[in-house]
Amino acid sequence: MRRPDLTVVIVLAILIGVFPFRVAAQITTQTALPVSTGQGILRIQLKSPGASGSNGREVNNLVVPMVLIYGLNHRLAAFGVVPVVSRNFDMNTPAGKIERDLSGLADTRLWLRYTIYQHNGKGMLTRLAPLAGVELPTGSTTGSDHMGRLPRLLQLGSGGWDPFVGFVFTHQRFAWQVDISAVYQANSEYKSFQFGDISRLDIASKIRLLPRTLGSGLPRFLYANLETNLIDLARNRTGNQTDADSGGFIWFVAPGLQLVSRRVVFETALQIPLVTDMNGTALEPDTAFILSTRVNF
Amino acid sequence: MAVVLLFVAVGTSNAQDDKRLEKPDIEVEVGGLACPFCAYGIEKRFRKIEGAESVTVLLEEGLVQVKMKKGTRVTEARLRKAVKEAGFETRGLRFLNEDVKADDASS
Repeated sequence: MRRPDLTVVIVLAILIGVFPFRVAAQITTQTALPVSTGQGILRIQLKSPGASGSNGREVNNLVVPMVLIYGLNHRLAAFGVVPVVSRNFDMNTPAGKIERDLSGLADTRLWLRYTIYQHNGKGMLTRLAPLAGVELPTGSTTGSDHMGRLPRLLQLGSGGWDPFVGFVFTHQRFAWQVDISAVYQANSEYKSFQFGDISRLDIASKIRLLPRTLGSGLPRFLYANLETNLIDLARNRTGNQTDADSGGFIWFVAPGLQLVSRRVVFETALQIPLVTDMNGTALEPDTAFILSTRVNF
Repeated sequence: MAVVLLFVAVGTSNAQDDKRLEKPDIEVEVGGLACPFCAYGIEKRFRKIEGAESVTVLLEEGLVQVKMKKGTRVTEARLRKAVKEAGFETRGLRFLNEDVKADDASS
């Protein structure tokens, strides 16, 4: 295999700036809906988050997070997210266009959610539940392609064990639902590199479009969804040096549709960056398409 | 656009997953039931009740209807436990057929 031009590699590493956020395979928002004791939910998504910047820099991802939820008891639920990612990166350099790509398992997230407050009425519920978990370093930090090892910022894994905490609030009625979740993730250092901590606030709302009147039995629901994600990314660090071209603030809005039956949910959304305020030359997020299904078992 | 049309088409098909039981033995009023996906959890807990033959969830009424197998009985406590394990709350409970009711002391 021909050895890549070292100059190109160095230029690439510098001009990449920073990928604005690791592709953590998170669901757009959390919900505090109850998971029955012994009940399982499998969710599989298809997401296409990407980012772009100066010098023709463009990162495209195809992410398939597989989510498993299990009700340990009527208050405590366990969550696991295993993401598979296919990533490619393009940029223009003095030596021509560079293309890099990498696929595989990214970092896995595990967490517990415990309901501390609940109120149940006829056709309505309210729940409040704190959550805590950890992102495990199951993704590679040494991936390579035809040009050799990829830069740190394009790798699928962080290398570190990154804890996170938060809470989720849900109020649901027949005609509409609101979920509010806030999560803080402290990213740890691995081999002198540390991604910036992540703070996020997610608010999801939906209204039932169909059926217009419920009637008897258990009808399917068609919802119109509107979600918003406020994400603050702290700057990355290498040793004692803070990367000025990393981190920033992103405000996404995500309109979508959701079809809900007793056993299955189908949902689709477009996650659109409404406001971005990235630091320095950090890449700016692009619109992502999301397709998802959930199955009760 | 095709995805949106597919969603609307399926959503308007007016299909229902459960029908009202003709002669239920038990009706349980459940608080917190507000969407079809959540109904599965409570149905699953009720199906684990020994002797339960059919279970139907009536979402708008907030009712779970149960038909017991002939000759079987269940206690009120067992029914309430199923609702709790599902993550919901019992708001009311009626044995429409007293022959299926077992005393809590005998459970």
